[in-house]
Amino acid sequence: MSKRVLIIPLAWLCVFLLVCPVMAANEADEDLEGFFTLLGEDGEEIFWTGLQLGVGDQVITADNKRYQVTAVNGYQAETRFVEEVHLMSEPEEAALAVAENQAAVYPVTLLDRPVGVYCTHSDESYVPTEGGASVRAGGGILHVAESFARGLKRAGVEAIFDNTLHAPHDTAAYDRSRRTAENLMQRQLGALFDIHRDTGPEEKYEAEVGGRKVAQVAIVIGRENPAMEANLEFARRLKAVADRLYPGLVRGILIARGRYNQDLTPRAVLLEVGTHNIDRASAERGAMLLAEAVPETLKSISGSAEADRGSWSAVGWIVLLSVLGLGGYLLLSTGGIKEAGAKLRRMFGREMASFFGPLEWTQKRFRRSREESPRRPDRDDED
Amino acid sequence: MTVGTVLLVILAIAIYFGLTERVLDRMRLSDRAALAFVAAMLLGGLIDIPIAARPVEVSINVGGGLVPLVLVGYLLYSADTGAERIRAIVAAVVAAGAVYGLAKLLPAEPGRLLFDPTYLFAGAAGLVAYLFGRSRRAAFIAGLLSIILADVIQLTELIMGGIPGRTDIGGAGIFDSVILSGVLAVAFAEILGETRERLQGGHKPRSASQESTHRSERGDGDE
Repeated sequence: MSKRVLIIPLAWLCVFLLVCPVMAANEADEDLEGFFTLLGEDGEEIFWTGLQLGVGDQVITADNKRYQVTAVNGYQAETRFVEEVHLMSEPEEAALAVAENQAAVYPVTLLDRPVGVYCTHSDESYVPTEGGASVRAGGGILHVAESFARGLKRAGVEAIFDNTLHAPHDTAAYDRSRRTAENLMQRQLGALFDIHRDTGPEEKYEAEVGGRKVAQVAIVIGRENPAMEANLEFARRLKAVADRLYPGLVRGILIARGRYNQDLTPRAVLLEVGTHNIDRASAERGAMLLAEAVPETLKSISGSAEADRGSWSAVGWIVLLSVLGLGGYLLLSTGGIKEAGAKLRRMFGREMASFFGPLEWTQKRFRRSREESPRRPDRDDED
Repeated sequence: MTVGTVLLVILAIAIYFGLTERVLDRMRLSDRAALAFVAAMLLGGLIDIPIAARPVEVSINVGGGLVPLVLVGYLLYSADTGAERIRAIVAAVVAAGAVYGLAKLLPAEPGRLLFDPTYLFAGAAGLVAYLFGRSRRAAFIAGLLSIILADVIQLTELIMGGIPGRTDIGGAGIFDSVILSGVLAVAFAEILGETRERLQGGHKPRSASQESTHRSERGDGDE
């Protein structure tokens, strides 16, 4: 056995063992100072977020205008106006209004299912209430998520709140919370909500609804989810219903880089309830009010052509990319188009013959391909 | 239908039609055994086995943790040489260190990263596993084992730091980075290995004695 085979990996292992404690000391914490302002084409402020923005990110503002980020300079993002957004088509709006009185207008299968609630960043807290922005043993965000779940129950929806802690607040938090989300998904959910809070000044995130101060809510959709369009459709409907019930509660929809476990279901969204500088009671009120919009959203999305189209187009893309990937691999491993074709003919001939029985055409093709390119002896033995 | 489910169905179809036969051959797995493992991962993803409740809640998912561990055990047992076993385990430890280090060094928000954390960790683990494992079998073992080891490191961190939390090994079942990193490690081994061979002008014939020595050093018949 060559010594080099062991020495090189062992040397690397030693380097990693030495570097790891340094890495642990530099643990990535939440950036509480970084606060992005999105500017419209005339330089007016249109949106605020503590999330890192990049070129290509989009936002649907409170007044339903869609902008795309074209440049990011420090903590300011320049945007271009894309379009006026109609959150729901007029017939759907009309049908939903009727459905409020006649539940049978829409199939309500999704409404019969429970709704899952969890917190990826379970340490997030509200400074005025908790005294700090992060509490590893469970931050104020868990209370806000619980209020959201309570609001859902009050609105007649079965809610399952999973208060699993995903500390520390590092890059792997979403990987850990994915396991919580997947456990919740096993309950055949109607929708899945990941509750967070943003970072930024209090005045940018508060509103007055029904004479009381509440924290505004932003809906975040991940661009790296292949089925993003379906999730965005759900977010748009949620905002449409919330706008009708409590105007000013939802401050917009941010479409940002990331996946946020939203690939698990087309009805998964991330909610940013207020900011770390707002008091928790306001955030809890905001979450409870938004929960009231969920049943109608689920009613409207049941059997929606737009939502289905989003999901199926994602499946189509995945299949297409997989076929291209497998095709590329086949070309690479066989050495050319002719050889790859011969291998494919041989595979389909053999498997179809065993699956459908001894069809003449498959047998002929199989024999011909064997003559063209003899199979490896070890595989022949298995048949 | 989620991305994981679609990919798993495509993988099962690829296995069924023999597209992965060479990879499976080199891992000493038959098509049927591979399909059985895929089915066990799919069904086992629904079952969590609790291991400990205090001081940190620990559980293992059958599909995302236990079945991959059984597969790792089988592949280690069927490895050709002791050197290959050691190489696979060392590669797994190094890849686990890389995953843990990335989690600490990189920003917490996915918006600041080039890739989603799940793909990033699985990709990093897969790449390191391939670079240190060298063979497809060792890369696959290291890919699967590294994420599980990274979970164990995180569990240790929680216990040592007195942080309440939960470690659910392979808890996302087929959607977990455990399986993804194993598959990516083999994909890296296959694609990078093949590309390197093509760039070098294809497979160079060796004498019988050279071939025998080479195979025993590498621990499998990758060429």
